[in-house]
Amino acid sequence: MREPLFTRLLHAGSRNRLVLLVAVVLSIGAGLAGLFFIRFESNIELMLPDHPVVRDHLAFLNKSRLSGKLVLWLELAPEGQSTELHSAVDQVAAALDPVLFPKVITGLSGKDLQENMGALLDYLPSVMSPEDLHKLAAGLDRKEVSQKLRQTWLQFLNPGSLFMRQTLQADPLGFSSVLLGKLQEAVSSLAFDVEIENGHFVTRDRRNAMLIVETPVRVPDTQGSGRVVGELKRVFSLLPATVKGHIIGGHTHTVSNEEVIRRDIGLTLVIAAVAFFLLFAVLIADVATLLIYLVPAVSVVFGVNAAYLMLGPLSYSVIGVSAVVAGISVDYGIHVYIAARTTGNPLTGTAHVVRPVTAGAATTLGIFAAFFLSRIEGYHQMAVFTILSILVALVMSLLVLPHALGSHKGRLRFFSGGRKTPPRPGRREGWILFLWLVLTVALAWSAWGVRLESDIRKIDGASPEILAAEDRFDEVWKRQKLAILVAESGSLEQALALNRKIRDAMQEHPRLGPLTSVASLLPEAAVRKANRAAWSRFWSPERRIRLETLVREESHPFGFSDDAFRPFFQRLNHTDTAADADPFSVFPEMFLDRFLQKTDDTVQVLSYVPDSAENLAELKQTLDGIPGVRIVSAQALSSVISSVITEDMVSMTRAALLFLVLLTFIFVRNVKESILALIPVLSSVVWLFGIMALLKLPLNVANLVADVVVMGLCIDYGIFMVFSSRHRSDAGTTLAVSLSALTTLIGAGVLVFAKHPALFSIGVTIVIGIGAGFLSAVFVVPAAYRRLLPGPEGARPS
Amino acid sequence: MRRLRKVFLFSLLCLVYAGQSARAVPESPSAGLGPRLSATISRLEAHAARLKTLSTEFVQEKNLAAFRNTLTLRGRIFMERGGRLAWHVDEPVRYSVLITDKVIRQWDEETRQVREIPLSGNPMLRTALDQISVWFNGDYSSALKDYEVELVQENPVVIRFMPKPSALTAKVLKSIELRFRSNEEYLEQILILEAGGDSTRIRFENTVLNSPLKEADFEVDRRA
Repeated sequence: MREPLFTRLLHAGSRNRLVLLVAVVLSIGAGLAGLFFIRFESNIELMLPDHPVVRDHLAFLNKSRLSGKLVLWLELAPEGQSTELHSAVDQVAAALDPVLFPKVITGLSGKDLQENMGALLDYLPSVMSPEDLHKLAAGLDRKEVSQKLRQTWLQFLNPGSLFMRQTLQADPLGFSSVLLGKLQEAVSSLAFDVEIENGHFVTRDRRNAMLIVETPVRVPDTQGSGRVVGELKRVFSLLPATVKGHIIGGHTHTVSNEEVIRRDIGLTLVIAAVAFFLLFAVLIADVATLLIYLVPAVSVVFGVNAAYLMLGPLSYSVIGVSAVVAGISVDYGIHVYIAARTTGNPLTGTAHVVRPVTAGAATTLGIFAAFFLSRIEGYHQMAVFTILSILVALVMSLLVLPHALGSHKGRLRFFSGGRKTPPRPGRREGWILFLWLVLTVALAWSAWGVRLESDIRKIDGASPEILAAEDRFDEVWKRQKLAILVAESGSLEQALALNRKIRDAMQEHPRLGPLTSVASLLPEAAVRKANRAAWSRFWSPERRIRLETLVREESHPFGFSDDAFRPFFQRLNHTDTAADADPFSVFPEMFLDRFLQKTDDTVQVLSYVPDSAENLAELKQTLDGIPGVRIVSAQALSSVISSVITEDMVSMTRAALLFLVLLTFIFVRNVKESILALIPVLSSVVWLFGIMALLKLPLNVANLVADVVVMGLCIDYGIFMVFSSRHRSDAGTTLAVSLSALTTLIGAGVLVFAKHPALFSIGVTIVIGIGAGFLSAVFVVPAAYRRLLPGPEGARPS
Repeated sequence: MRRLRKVFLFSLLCLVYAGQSARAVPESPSAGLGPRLSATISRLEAHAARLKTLSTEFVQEKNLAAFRNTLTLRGRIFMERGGRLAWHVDEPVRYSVLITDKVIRQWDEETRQVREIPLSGNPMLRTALDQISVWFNGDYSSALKDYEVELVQENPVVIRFMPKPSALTAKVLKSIELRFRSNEEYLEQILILEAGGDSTRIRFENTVLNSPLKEADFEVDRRA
């Protein structure tokens, strides 16, 4: 009879041990060398689902200049003087590296204002709608003109009139007040509660100042963000002791995430390595355990290399789960080792466990294969890395490790071995089943209260100092949450026309506002041209002469000279030849930056409205009929992420469960036994959700995936314990399962020491889930087996 | 209401025009002053530091191209150092302005209504009022950042401030000349020369320093 493939491979290895050894050593060397060339990146986008809305948001944010902007917040100590704050702003602006920060905005330029006042008045005809002209005409009778001139005269008496005089002479009748409403639309929500003192942005209490800086470095650029944050910290270090600087922007998150994850990976791998070593050294006390220890190390090294070759730069957070993978992959070595020591012959022992070990690996691989059903790229990376690592671990454990273990029997500490279970179930089994049932029902009840956290920022690993500074910044500057309405088109004029349509649509739904928009100030060229033509027709020669006479007569009692309002009349006399003042020279760059964005092939005009979950549906409905319009909203993004994650988890869990049930049945080949083997899976899920609800820990995009991994591991325990129960002999199974669970708990447990919230939540999830699965596997499955399958069926040979 | 709207419009324009790239290296405001000037300013500031309240009559003469004749205002000023300033015009029109650090309150005899203009979001108006505050309070060192200064006369002291090209006031202001009383305790006259040739002279008469002020002195609608 022809030998099975596995046996042939095992014997082939046995005949060529030296070649095998050299090949393994060379491969390990190559893998270790490869680690120095692997690039990692800290990009939270990897953990966002691939969905049109999410893609749309990311595309907008990546293209927009918002991604390169940072706010520098300078905070004055209680003993500090406001003059120190202003000096500090100037000092920071002067000290910043101009290459890294080509644009620095500190506040108001009064000079710009004075120089552009005339340009604004020149631009007025372009934005005067027919309704505006109608109102204007109503205010040109003698009484109105007289009253307006009196107001102008009073303004001249005002102690602060020096700066306003040019405007008063150029516009004595307040025509420019039409701009008031249009400007209000553009500044109604400035995102911050800001005042300007001595040309600087300050809070009302004058204790805080703000600079806005722009850098070409994008937020996801880890190295560039490091330079940006380093430079800002250098500049802040030069500030006097009474002024403290804070950086508010995405770059700090990138840097902090990288630091935290680097620290976490280093710390958790060291703790896991030490814990594994101590575990084997103390429990088994056999030098050969070092070889078991090599299995996870080698599998992780190979997995990382192979995943990098296939996928390119890998996410730190994905690689952060390598400790978990180590915990899983060491299981196969444990089973082979215990089988080898139990039988006294590594090859024979390995042949005995090849089926359950392969089954365990197959279920784990199946679970991770289900990750490809998800639309989250980070999950795909995790799946590729884990599948490759598991395959390497399997090959190492079954085909390499047996040749390295000596042919002798071993006695394992704390393990009696070969204990036969009593033929009849006793009261102990009843109590175990009762307790399990009560606990499971109670935790199932509790599980309904578990919360899904859809805010991806909650698993951001930025340091508490950064998050606290941002919270205080929001409080001090009263930052508003705004949604962005984007009018996008291939040309500026079309985008401006779209933006006007947005304004018109929003005017019918004032509840959604206030709308911050430049639609009234920046209509498209065709509308501007029509407005100018109407303005020109309005100012007929007769009307101009009539008004000039009226103004001269009514200004006389106030002592105004005949030439007092010459600039005003000069403008009126040129209405017929008024060209379209270029809006991009009328309004300063900083103002336009907030509303206009040019990408390689499109122009985007932006408007802003309060971002609230309650208004989102109505907002979408309002803008639904306008093609080329999109809503960029943190609320919308959160809602989509939440629903996509839920959908993904449902489909992944369904596929994983189907796979588990199928594989369980294939390996166990008995319906009742298969159901019993699934008890640890059921326990892990119910207990996990129930305990998380009790601890008020939310489910999130990171720990949900860990739950699926837990299911894959727990079914292994179930299958092993069903096989053990079937033979009515422990024969090392409980020890092997315990060691497996223990090593996985170590691998995941060390993540509890992680500072990064994603890694921490993965650790907590696996510890709770594996704990629940392990306890029910070693206690409940045998008890249930003996209660439910006490007869001959329970003693059938495998 | 229209006046209020104008001021508000002005503040909105300021918000729209908010933005400047500031890379100028800050320097010490008193750098470059001669020893005599420096000593004079220190002496005047020492006097000003003792000022707690001010009550004075004033005559303001505005020679503006926009007016046929000199515009002469008469009235009274009440000031708490670093606090409120009330500007009551009695002639040619009854008109009052109260300036605090947060708000301007205005009243005039025709409308007989009090209107409030918050200074938040009115950076240009605040700047103008900050300028007034500097001269009235005697905080001359803070002005050295934006102004060149020269000692015109020593007895009585006359100092002239000329805006630096980078200063906010450079476009509209040529110089501000401060003439002090012989005891140097307070101003006798402020002469403002504007870039376009207009000028404003404010003479202070019957000035009383550090006398208790009544709350009514800071009410703009007391004559309503």
